[in-house]
Amino acid sequence: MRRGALTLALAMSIATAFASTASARWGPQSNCALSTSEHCYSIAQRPTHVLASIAFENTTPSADVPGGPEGEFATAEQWISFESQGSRYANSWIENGQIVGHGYDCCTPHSFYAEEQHWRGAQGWHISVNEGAAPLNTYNHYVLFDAERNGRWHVYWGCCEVASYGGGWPVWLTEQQAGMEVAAETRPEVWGRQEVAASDGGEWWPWTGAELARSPGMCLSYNIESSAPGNIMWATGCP
Amino acid sequence: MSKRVCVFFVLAAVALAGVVLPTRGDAPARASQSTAAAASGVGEGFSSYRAPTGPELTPLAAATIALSRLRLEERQPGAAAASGEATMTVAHGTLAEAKAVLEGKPPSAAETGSTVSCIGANGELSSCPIPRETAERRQSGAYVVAMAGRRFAPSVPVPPGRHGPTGTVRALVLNSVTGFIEEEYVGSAMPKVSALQDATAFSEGTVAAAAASGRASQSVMLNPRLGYLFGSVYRGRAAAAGWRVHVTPAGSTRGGMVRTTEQDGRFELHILAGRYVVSAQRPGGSSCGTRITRVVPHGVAHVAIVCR
Repeated sequence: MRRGALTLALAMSIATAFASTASARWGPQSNCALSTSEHCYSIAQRPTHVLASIAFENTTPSADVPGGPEGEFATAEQWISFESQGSRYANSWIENGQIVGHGYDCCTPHSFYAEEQHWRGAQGWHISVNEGAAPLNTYNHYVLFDAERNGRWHVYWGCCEVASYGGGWPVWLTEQQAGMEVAAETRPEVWGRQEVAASDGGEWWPWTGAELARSPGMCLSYNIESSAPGNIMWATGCP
Repeated sequence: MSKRVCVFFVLAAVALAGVVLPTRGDAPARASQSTAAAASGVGEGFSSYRAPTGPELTPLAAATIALSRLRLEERQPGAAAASGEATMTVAHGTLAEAKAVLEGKPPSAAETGSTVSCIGANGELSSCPIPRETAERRQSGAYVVAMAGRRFAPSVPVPPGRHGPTGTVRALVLNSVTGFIEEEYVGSAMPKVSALQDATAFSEGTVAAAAASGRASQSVMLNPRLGYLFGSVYRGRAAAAGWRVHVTPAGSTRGGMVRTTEQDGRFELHILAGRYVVSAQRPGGSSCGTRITRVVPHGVAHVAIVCR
């Protein structure tokens, strides 16, 4: 744990070394901003074919999204999608994790889940956010699981189910992504790390292979506490 | 070269590369740790959530908060200019009812069960008593504010490379005491807010004028539907500390709220007026001392439960 904290402190040093102070739009090409096409990411992703996506998201040691009350935000989360199973699932997904900002305050992570779907005739996007604060410096447990194999995706926070989406979704998720998303005009000071897994029910498995991707302006590294595929750390402020 | 500097350069190199990295076969130790913890009840306190108590916002105050969020989104860089006056309809219910309505279901489809699915130590699913915070969230008071009349396109979390949501309907669900926005919807389907209680329509101009004059914020008032339930649980003649108390609407087979008694055996709730079945749960799990009581608006109901 101490080693992890040291490494995160070093990652913060990297961020500080490469970044100027907070300014309107940020990133080396001013590429990171609030509008949807300019969100910035540090993520792990992979194609797969499983029933459950598991992520342990850790926002640490603190979070500061100065524009949070104005709607800017930073997340630590997982997304599942189904696009390879048909064009009607394009631009449809389910996500689950924790968010700082988004019209609330600067610094409190709130657990959330959301879906966007375009295949029921009436397209729509839903999000649910918990008013309570999710713990900092802890691997908070988030699961998306079609336990009954009926296209209804159950959402878990910690031990327990908090909601479900569907049915009508495919039974198998075929794309897993997890990491950090930032939508802000002013560079937030946010660091985090994650561990990810998958399951078909019962035993959980590490990912078998992962592609890592980041936007200019975001930092990305292995999670040194567990370097299985998809387990990463992130921060804002790299070139 | 010091170890710290080595780590610094490794991190920097990875950050600069941002490419496919080799994989290793570590077991997901976090998974087994967390599921074991979950099975032992960690989820009971997943967040700091406590159902707020106190006076509720008025419908106009709720509409003002929703309009403030809407205008915030429309002022953001890259946002399309607002055109057309929004119509706003506000209605009241529990958060679970509001959520059901947002998903196109009737309020009666609200999740109110006393158990939930939970994940065990080996990843297996089972049925568990609903965690306190989930039960309290579901039963907390909420306003739905449904808005139409122009195109909505907020910047929200999306996967990389995906489009954000757009639609002709925007709906928000606010906690009726704190005004915290708990649920959001963007799409083309207008939720049937008339299925909830006290649906009231406002024009955007009316809400904006109220906000400008401060009238909305001053119009906070007590919810006429809320009352208090105070109770005590005894094991014989001794106070039963740390026992769970289930409070369920009378005539409903579904679960309601759960409280844990304090050191002196007392518990309290601020809940909607109505008839409730109140029962204690022994540490071993069995129920005892079932009572029926009535909570009236602004009133205080007392109940004493004695178990052997």
